[in-house]
Amino acid sequence: MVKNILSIAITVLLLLSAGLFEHFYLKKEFNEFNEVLVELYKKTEDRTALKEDGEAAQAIWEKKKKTLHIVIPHTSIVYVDYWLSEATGLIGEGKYELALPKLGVLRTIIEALPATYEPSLENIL
Amino acid sequence: MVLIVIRTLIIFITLMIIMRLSGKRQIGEMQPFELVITLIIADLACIPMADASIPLLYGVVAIVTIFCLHQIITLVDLKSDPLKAVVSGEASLVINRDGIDIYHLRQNNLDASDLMESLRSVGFFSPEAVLYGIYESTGNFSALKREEYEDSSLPVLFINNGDWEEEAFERTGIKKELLQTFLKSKKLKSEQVYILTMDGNGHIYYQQEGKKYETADIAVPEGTTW
Repeated sequence: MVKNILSIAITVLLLLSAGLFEHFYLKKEFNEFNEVLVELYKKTEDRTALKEDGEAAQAIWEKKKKTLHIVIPHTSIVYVDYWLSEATGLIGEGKYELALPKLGVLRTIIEALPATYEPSLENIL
Repeated sequence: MVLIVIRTLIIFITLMIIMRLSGKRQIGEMQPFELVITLIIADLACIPMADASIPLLYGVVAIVTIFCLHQIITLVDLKSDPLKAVVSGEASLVINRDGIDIYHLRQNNLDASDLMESLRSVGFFSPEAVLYGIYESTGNFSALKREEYEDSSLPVLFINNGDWEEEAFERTGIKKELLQTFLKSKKLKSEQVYILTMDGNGHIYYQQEGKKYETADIAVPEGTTW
């Protein structure tokens, strides 16, 4: 019985820790990247963004993606790559008006993604 | 991660309820929660195995959750009899000294033919051969032999829950009129009889609902013994 109670306590602790880690980790990672996107969006609005800015954002995303893949499905974040690549390409060509909506979509995705992993009723059901 | 834990919990509880409601027919030799765990855990392991886009942690977390639930239920089983009855069910006494307990048999979604099959699986061929018959919470059947009974021929089920078993007549060569005449002599209709078996020597075991079982011996036509 002691072994039983101990194993229950340990597994509950492990599961709770994993849940808390996921919650704070996702929030931190996506908030950090969102700040990068906000910066890029402002520069694009001001027509001062360069292709290098987009590529820098891509490099930051690549680094974050490596660890995010451990915690959330690849399919959830694959679209970030697509939108970011498109936006970077358009910025490089100077097509800021076309790049802005792409960045807008990207920001929406980044802001919305962590919420899909929260323990809310709509996510559970 | 918390989502996975909660979803796993909900599916687990749902499966448990379904297994308990299904009665002992579905369970086989496992406790309900053991069957649920068996059903779930293989799938949980397979999903991240087969789909590389799903983090392995998802499968691990779900499996650890199942393990935790298993440990909790095992503890409940040991410590609390009322909760044990709810989670794992209780043994059902379906045969007693008076014959078949039809109420408990029905409660477990079983009928006379299921009971006959269970009796055969433990080496008995008639309810008359058994003093007590119990369906365990695992779905296993246990029986206590009635010492004074000796079987000399195979009892065949002719009436199950008030309905004639037409196949039995084809298999044995017995005419339905023989048993209809017998029932008439007892002022009974087939619908009033829950179970009626007869062996090759004309030994009949029958029971009406709510009444004790009775036996009788009739003459069977020449050449139809088995």
